[in-house]
Amino acid sequence: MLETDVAVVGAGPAGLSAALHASQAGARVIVVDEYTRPGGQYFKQPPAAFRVLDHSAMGRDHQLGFDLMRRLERGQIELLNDTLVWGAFEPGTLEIYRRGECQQVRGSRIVVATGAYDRPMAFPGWTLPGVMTAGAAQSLLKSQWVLPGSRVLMVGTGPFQLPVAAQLVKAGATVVGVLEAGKVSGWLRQVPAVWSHLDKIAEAKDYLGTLLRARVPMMYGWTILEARGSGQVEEAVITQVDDQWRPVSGTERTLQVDTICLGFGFLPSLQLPRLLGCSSRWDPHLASWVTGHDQDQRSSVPEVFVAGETTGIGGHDVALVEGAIAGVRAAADLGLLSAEEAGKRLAGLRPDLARHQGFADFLNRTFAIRPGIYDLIREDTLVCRCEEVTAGAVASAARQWEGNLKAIKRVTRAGCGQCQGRICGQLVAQVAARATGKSVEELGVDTPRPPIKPIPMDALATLA
Amino acid sequence: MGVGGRILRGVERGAAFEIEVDGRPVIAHEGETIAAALIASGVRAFRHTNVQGAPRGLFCGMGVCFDCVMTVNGVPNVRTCVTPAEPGMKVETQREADW
Repeated sequence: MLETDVAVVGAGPAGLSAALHASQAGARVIVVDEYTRPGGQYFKQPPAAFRVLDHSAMGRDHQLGFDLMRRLERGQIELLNDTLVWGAFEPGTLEIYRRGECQQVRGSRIVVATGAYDRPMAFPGWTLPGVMTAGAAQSLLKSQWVLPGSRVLMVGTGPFQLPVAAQLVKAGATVVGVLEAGKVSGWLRQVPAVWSHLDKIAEAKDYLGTLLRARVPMMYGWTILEARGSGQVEEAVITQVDDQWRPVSGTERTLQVDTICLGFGFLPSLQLPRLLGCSSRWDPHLASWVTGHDQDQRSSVPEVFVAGETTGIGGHDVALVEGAIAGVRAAADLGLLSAEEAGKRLAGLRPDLARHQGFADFLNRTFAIRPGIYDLIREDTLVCRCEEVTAGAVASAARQWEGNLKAIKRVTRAGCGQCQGRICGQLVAQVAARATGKSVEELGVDTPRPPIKPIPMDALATLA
Repeated sequence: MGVGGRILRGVERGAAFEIEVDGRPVIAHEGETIAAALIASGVRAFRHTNVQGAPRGLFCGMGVCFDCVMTVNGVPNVRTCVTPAEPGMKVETQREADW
């Protein structure tokens, strides 16, 4: 059993920021992270054996990430990398799997900063090799310096498509098109000046400039209908969509591609906070559940703080400030900061959070998923990739069990596979909602059961 | 063969070595994930599914979806997108869920 003042789960922007602020206040901190190197997705570092010569290829904020990592090395912070949190059975205690063994980490306070992942979108052919998330493509480019393909189609919605498309172009790929389902051309001009996010606007314009010079078609009001190929992606059938993102028949076109990147925004990672008993709330713009919290980032469980994308998709700026608030508040809880000192530090952070959150809310509203996109899913389209369960099977179970998600899972096995519903959960809920005429919100949110990440049985035996 | 590939400008990689994928040699560099080494050498199908026998490859790229799992040095269900390649590693395509 490893004991500490503050146990942080996740070494991305929110987790690192929480760890540094708690540590600065004098707390002993353990950070648990699944990956080999800290940074999470946003500050993902290349392998230690790589030497990056062209730092501009890493994006604007990677210097900020490197600075964070350097401060992490200097602080009183223990990083457990390559470590999975797979369960939680007692308050304050995390079950971890590390180097072939199961152990516990007990923190007087816990900060959950488990981040987010690309929102999966199902359509015929989405399981073919060569169809991947925009995040997967960016990770290959930025961290591994490998091109995911040669002729790439970007499909989805939101500003994250732009940096990935621009990075693909710079690395030498042909981007055959960027399909934005929303009819949001000119959205950059609508950013309210009060947030003065000029840096972000300039960044987006930079990416657009790169795409324009490479003559990449920017197609607003278009999306994918089907991916085709034998053994891997060879063709993409694309379609125009209406205001609700329903495909408009008769507008189909076929493109020769070897790679399709899906960038439909992000979903908060909810498994661990739910397992810890933290309550979730429905976010209509994200069309997803998010982990609830008060203004100090405290969840419904008093010893558990939540920060970053698990609380809603806000980007790294929001994550850094939320992490800082959680770190300060956790240290104050343990008596390491006076109420006055904690209040002073928190008051300094709140205006930043409001500014960044305002911009994030604007993006989430502008690029909100429209329900017609789920028309892409046909009867025989797989929604659960692990257990190979079709939308038809889910819909029929949903009708039989009146949309009860637990029953649908038991009957169809959708969500029982290795990803534990992370990929299919939202798709199953959408299909079940349509089949029953209920809203996704009405269907509620499933609570996962441990292990929330698969661990070897022989490692479990080391527990006994 | 050959839709992906290594980006050569702007980076110096770690040392190159061989891994064995379904009995064939594949070049990897120190620090590269198994998935990156495979995609760089044009391999995209990492496993075949249990029910439909359909090919699957890299999907989420961050250890969430478990679609890129392969058998590595005899251990099944290893997520190749988050597992670094090591010299002499034996990697095998999974034909069914080995668990």
